[in-house]
Amino acid sequence: MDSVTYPNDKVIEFVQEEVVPLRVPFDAKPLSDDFNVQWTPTLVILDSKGREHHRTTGFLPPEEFIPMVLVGIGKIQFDDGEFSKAISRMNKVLAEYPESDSAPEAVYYRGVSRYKDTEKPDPLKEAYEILRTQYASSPWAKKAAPYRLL
Amino acid sequence: MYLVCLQIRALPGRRAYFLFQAVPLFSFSLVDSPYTIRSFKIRDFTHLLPAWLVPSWHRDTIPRVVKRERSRSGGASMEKQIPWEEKMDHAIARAGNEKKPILLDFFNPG
Repeated sequence: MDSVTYPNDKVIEFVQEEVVPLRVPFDAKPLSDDFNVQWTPTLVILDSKGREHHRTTGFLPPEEFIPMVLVGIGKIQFDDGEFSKAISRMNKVLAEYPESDSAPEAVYYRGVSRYKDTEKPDPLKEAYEILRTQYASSPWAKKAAPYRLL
Repeated sequence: MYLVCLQIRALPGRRAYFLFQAVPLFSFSLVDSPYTIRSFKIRDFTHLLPAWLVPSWHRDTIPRVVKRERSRSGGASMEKQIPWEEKMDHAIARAGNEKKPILLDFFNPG
Protein backbone atom coordinates (compact mmCIF):
# COMPACT_ATOMS: atom_id res chain seq x y z
CA MET A 1 0.00 0.00 0.00
CA ASP A 2 2.81 2.41 0.89
CA SER A 3 4.66 1.94 -2.38
CA VAL A 4 1.76 1.76 -4.83
CA THR A 5 -1.64 2.84 -3.52
CA TYR A 6 -1.06 5.59 -0.99
CA PRO A 7 1.41 7.61 -3.10
CA ASN A 8 -1.04 7.65 -6.02
CA ASP A 9 -2.24 11.18 -6.77
CA LYS A 10 -5.85 10.13 -7.32
CA VAL A 11 -5.89 8.19 -4.04
CA ILE A 12 -4.39 11.12 -2.13
CA GLU A 13 -6.97 13.51 -3.55
CA PHE A 14 -9.81 11.07 -2.90
CA VAL A 15 -8.79 10.41 0.70
CA GLN A 16 -8.40 14.11 1.45
CA GLU A 17 -11.87 14.86 0.10
CA GLU A 18 -13.89 11.92 1.34
CA VAL A 19 -12.56 10.56 4.65
CA VAL A 20 -10.51 11.26 7.74
CA PRO A 21 -7.52 8.93 7.38
CA LEU A 22 -6.34 7.22 10.55
CA ARG A 23 -3.37 4.90 10.64
CA VAL A 24 -2.20 2.76 13.54
CA PRO A 25 0.20 -0.18 13.86
CA PHE A 26 -1.53 -3.57 13.78
CA ASP A 27 -0.44 -4.28 17.36
CA ALA A 28 -1.52 -0.95 18.84
CA LYS A 29 -3.56 -1.65 21.95
CA PRO A 30 -6.45 -1.43 22.62
CA LEU A 31 -7.52 -0.68 19.03
CA SER A 32 -6.17 -3.91 17.54
CA ASP A 33 -8.13 -5.88 20.15
CA ASP A 34 -11.25 -3.76 19.76
CA PHE A 35 -11.26 -4.40 16.01
CA ASN A 36 -9.88 -7.96 16.26
CA VAL A 37 -7.07 -7.33 13.78
CA GLN A 38 -5.08 -10.43 12.86
CA TRP A 39 -3.50 -9.48 9.55
CA THR A 40 -2.33 -6.44 7.61
CA PRO A 41 -3.29 -4.35 5.86
CA THR A 42 -6.72 -4.29 7.46
CA LEU A 43 -8.80 -1.34 6.29
CA VAL A 44 -11.91 -0.44 8.26
CA ILE A 45 -14.50 2.17 7.36
CA LEU A 46 -15.96 3.83 10.45
CA ASP A 47 -18.66 6.42 10.85
CA SER A 48 -17.90 9.71 12.56
CA LYS A 49 -18.62 8.11 15.94
CA GLY A 50 -16.08 5.34 15.41
CA ARG A 51 -18.51 2.50 14.62
CA GLU A 52 -17.41 -0.05 12.04
CA HIS A 53 -19.47 -0.47 8.85
CA HIS A 54 -17.10 -2.08 6.35
CA ARG A 55 -13.69 -3.75 6.27
CA THR A 56 -11.23 -5.46 3.96
CA THR A 57 -7.98 -7.30 4.53
CA GLY A 58 -5.09 -7.45 2.08
CA PHE A 59 -3.50 -5.24 -0.53
CA LEU A 60 -5.69 -3.11 -2.78
CA PRO A 61 -4.39 -1.26 -5.84
CA PRO A 62 -5.70 2.27 -6.42
CA GLU A 63 -8.43 1.10 -8.83
CA GLU A 64 -9.79 -1.21 -6.10
CA PHE A 65 -9.05 0.95 -3.07
CA ILE A 66 -11.23 3.90 -4.12
CA PRO A 67 -14.39 1.89 -4.92
CA MET A 68 -13.92 -0.12 -1.71
CA VAL A 69 -13.96 3.09 0.33
CA LEU A 70 -16.92 4.42 -1.68
CA VAL A 71 -18.91 1.27 -0.93
CA GLY A 72 -17.94 1.58 2.74
CA ILE A 73 -19.22 5.16 2.84
CA GLY A 74 -22.40 4.03 1.08
CA LYS A 75 -22.90 1.33 3.70
CA ILE A 76 -22.61 3.92 6.46
CA GLN A 77 -25.37 5.92 4.75
CA PHE A 78 -27.43 2.76 4.25
CA ASP A 79 -27.05 1.79 7.92
CA ASP A 80 -28.07 5.31 8.93
CA GLY A 81 -31.22 5.08 6.80
CA GLU A 82 -30.00 7.67 4.30
CA PHE A 83 -31.01 5.54 1.34
CA SER A 84 -30.94 8.19 -1.38
CA LYS A 85 -27.36 9.09 -0.42
CA ALA A 86 -26.41 5.42 -0.38
CA ILE A 87 -27.92 4.96 -3.85
CA SER A 88 -25.97 7.94 -5.12
CA ARG A 89 -22.73 6.56 -3.66
CA MET A 90 -23.27 3.11 -5.18
CA ASN A 91 -24.12 4.70 -8.53
CA LYS A 92 -20.78 6.47 -8.41
CA VAL A 93 -18.98 3.16 -7.88
CA LEU A 94 -20.82 1.58 -10.80
CA ALA A 95 -20.28 4.55 -13.10
CA GLU A 96 -16.58 5.04 -12.38
CA TYR A 97 -15.40 1.56 -11.36
CA PRO A 98 -17.74 -0.98 -13.01
CA GLU A 99 -14.91 -3.51 -13.37
CA SER A 100 -13.78 -3.35 -9.76
CA ASP A 101 -14.30 -6.10 -7.22
CA SER A 102 -16.54 -3.73 -5.25
CA ALA A 103 -18.98 -3.27 -8.13
CA PRO A 104 -21.17 -6.36 -7.40
CA GLU A 105 -21.54 -5.28 -3.77
CA ALA A 106 -22.51 -1.80 -5.01
CA VAL A 107 -25.20 -3.35 -7.26
CA TYR A 108 -26.54 -5.32 -4.30
CA TYR A 109 -26.64 -2.39 -1.88
CA ARG A 110 -28.05 -0.05 -4.51
CA GLY A 111 -30.92 -2.49 -5.05
CA VAL A 112 -31.52 -2.92 -1.35
CA SER A 113 -31.37 0.85 -0.77
CA ARG A 114 -33.87 1.45 -3.56
CA TYR A 115 -36.16 -1.15 -2.05
CA LYS A 116 -35.91 0.44 1.38
CA ASP A 117 -36.47 3.87 -0.17
CA THR A 118 -39.52 2.91 -2.27
CA GLU A 119 -40.78 -0.21 -0.48
CA LYS A 120 -41.27 -1.82 -3.88
CA PRO A 121 -39.60 -5.13 -4.80
CA ASP A 122 -38.66 -4.20 -8.37
CA PRO A 123 -35.20 -2.81 -7.47
CA LEU A 124 -34.33 -6.10 -5.79
CA LYS A 125 -35.25 -8.09 -8.89
CA GLU A 126 -33.34 -5.62 -11.04
CA ALA A 127 -30.27 -5.99 -8.81
CA TYR A 128 -30.44 -9.76 -9.12
CA GLU A 129 -30.71 -9.57 -12.91
CA ILE A 130 -27.68 -7.26 -13.14
CA LEU A 131 -25.68 -9.51 -10.83
CA ARG A 132 -26.73 -12.63 -12.73
CA THR A 133 -25.84 -11.22 -16.12
CA GLN A 134 -22.83 -9.02 -15.39
CA TYR A 135 -21.29 -10.40 -12.20
CA ALA A 136 -22.39 -14.04 -12.28
CA SER A 137 -19.28 -15.34 -10.51
CA SER A 138 -19.62 -12.87 -7.65
CA PRO A 139 -20.86 -14.09 -4.26
CA TRP A 140 -23.26 -11.15 -4.34
CA ALA A 141 -25.09 -12.85 -7.22
CA LYS A 142 -25.76 -15.80 -4.91
CA LYS A 143 -26.85 -13.52 -2.08
CA ALA A 144 -29.35 -11.85 -4.40
CA ALA A 145 -30.66 -15.14 -5.83
CA PRO A 146 -33.82 -15.22 -3.65
CA TYR A 147 -34.91 -11.89 -5.20
CA ARG A 148 -35.67 -13.67 -8.48
CA LEU A 149 -38.75 -15.09 -6.78
CA LEU A 150 -40.21 -11.68 -5.97
CA MET B 1 19.58 26.36 -5.55
CA TYR B 2 22.88 25.03 -4.27
CA LEU B 3 24.23 23.02 -1.41
CA VAL B 4 27.93 23.67 -1.37
CA CYS B 5 30.24 21.45 0.63
CA LEU B 6 33.86 22.54 1.00
CA GLN B 7 36.26 20.05 2.53
CA ILE B 8 39.59 21.59 3.38
CA ARG B 9 42.60 19.92 4.96
CA ALA B 10 43.73 22.57 7.36
CA LEU B 11 46.31 20.44 9.17
CA PRO B 12 47.93 17.11 8.27
CA GLY B 13 45.48 14.31 9.07
CA ARG B 14 42.67 16.69 9.87
CA ARG B 15 40.00 18.01 7.67
CA ALA B 16 37.55 20.79 8.07
CA TYR B 17 34.16 20.83 6.43
CA PHE B 18 32.26 23.89 5.46
CA LEU B 19 28.68 23.70 4.34
CA PHE B 20 27.00 26.54 2.60
CA GLN B 21 23.37 25.88 1.96
CA ALA B 22 21.29 27.98 -0.32
CA VAL B 23 18.83 25.64 -1.99
CA PRO B 24 19.73 21.96 -2.40
CA LEU B 25 20.09 21.44 -6.11
CA PHE B 26 23.77 20.59 -6.41
CA SER B 27 26.59 19.81 -4.05
CA PHE B 28 30.08 20.90 -4.88
CA SER B 29 32.70 19.04 -2.92
CA LEU B 30 36.26 20.23 -2.84
CA VAL B 31 38.40 17.35 -1.62
CA ASP B 32 41.97 17.17 -0.31
CA SER B 33 42.57 20.79 -0.52
CA PRO B 34 44.70 22.52 2.04
CA TYR B 35 44.63 25.54 -0.13
CA THR B 36 44.56 24.12 -3.61
CA ILE B 37 41.76 22.18 -5.29
CA ARG B 38 42.81 18.62 -6.20
CA SER B 39 39.41 17.22 -7.11
CA PHE B 40 36.00 18.61 -7.73
CA LYS B 41 32.72 16.72 -7.49
CA ILE B 42 29.17 17.72 -8.27
CA ARG B 43 26.42 15.82 -6.55
CA ASP B 44 22.85 16.04 -7.77
CA PHE B 45 20.03 16.19 -5.23
CA THR B 46 17.26 17.15 -7.60
CA HIS B 47 15.65 13.72 -7.42
CA LEU B 48 14.76 14.54 -3.82
CA LEU B 49 12.82 17.62 -4.86
CA PRO B 50 9.24 17.84 -6.15
CA ALA B 51 9.17 18.05 -9.91
CA TRP B 52 7.88 21.63 -9.98
CA LEU B 53 10.98 22.83 -8.12
CA VAL B 54 13.33 21.39 -10.71
CA PRO B 55 14.13 23.64 -13.67
CA SER B 56 12.88 22.23 -16.95
CA TRP B 57 16.39 22.22 -18.40
CA HIS B 58 17.51 19.93 -15.60
CA ARG B 59 14.65 17.39 -15.59
CA ASP B 60 16.28 15.10 -18.11
CA THR B 61 19.18 14.59 -15.73
CA ILE B 62 17.00 13.07 -12.97
CA PRO B 63 18.08 9.45 -12.60
CA ARG B 64 15.94 7.03 -14.57
CA VAL B 65 15.32 4.87 -11.52
CA VAL B 66 13.75 7.80 -9.71
CA LYS B 67 11.58 8.59 -12.73
CA ARG B 68 10.46 4.97 -12.86
CA GLU B 69 9.57 4.94 -9.16
CA ARG B 70 7.61 8.17 -9.54
CA SER B 71 5.76 6.67 -12.48
CA ARG B 72 4.90 3.53 -10.52
CA SER B 73 3.49 5.56 -7.68
CA GLY B 74 1.20 7.46 -10.02
CA GLY B 75 3.49 10.44 -10.35
CA ALA B 76 3.07 11.63 -6.79
CA SER B 77 5.45 14.36 -5.82
CA MET B 78 7.52 13.93 -2.71
CA GLU B 79 5.53 16.45 -0.70
CA LYS B 80 2.04 15.11 -1.50
CA GLN B 81 1.04 12.55 1.07
CA ILE B 82 -2.08 11.34 2.81
CA PRO B 83 -2.39 13.37 6.04
CA TRP B 84 -2.83 10.42 8.41
CA GLU B 85 -4.15 10.90 11.89
CA GLU B 86 -2.46 8.69 14.47
CA LYS B 87 -4.93 8.84 17.37
CA MET B 88 -8.49 7.55 17.31
CA ASP B 89 -9.84 10.38 19.46
CA HIS B 90 -8.29 12.98 17.13
CA ALA B 91 -9.79 11.21 14.12
CA ILE B 92 -13.24 11.04 15.71
CA ALA B 93 -13.11 14.72 16.66
CA ARG B 94 -12.07 15.64 13.14
CA ALA B 95 -14.68 13.35 11.58
CA GLY B 96 -17.37 15.00 13.68
CA ASN B 97 -16.28 18.47 12.69
CA GLU B 98 -15.85 17.69 9.00
CA LYS B 99 -18.86 15.31 8.85
CA LYS B 100 -16.76 12.62 7.21
CA PRO B 101 -16.31 8.91 7.82
CA ILE B 102 -13.00 7.50 9.03
CA LEU B 103 -10.68 5.27 7.07
CA LEU B 104 -8.81 3.20 9.66
CA ASP B 105 -5.70 1.44 8.36
CA PHE B 106 -4.02 -1.16 10.55
CA PHE B 107 -0.56 -1.46 9.07
CA ASN B 108 2.66 -3.31 9.79
CA PRO B 109 5.38 -0.75 10.50
CA GLY B 110 8.05 -3.42 10.27
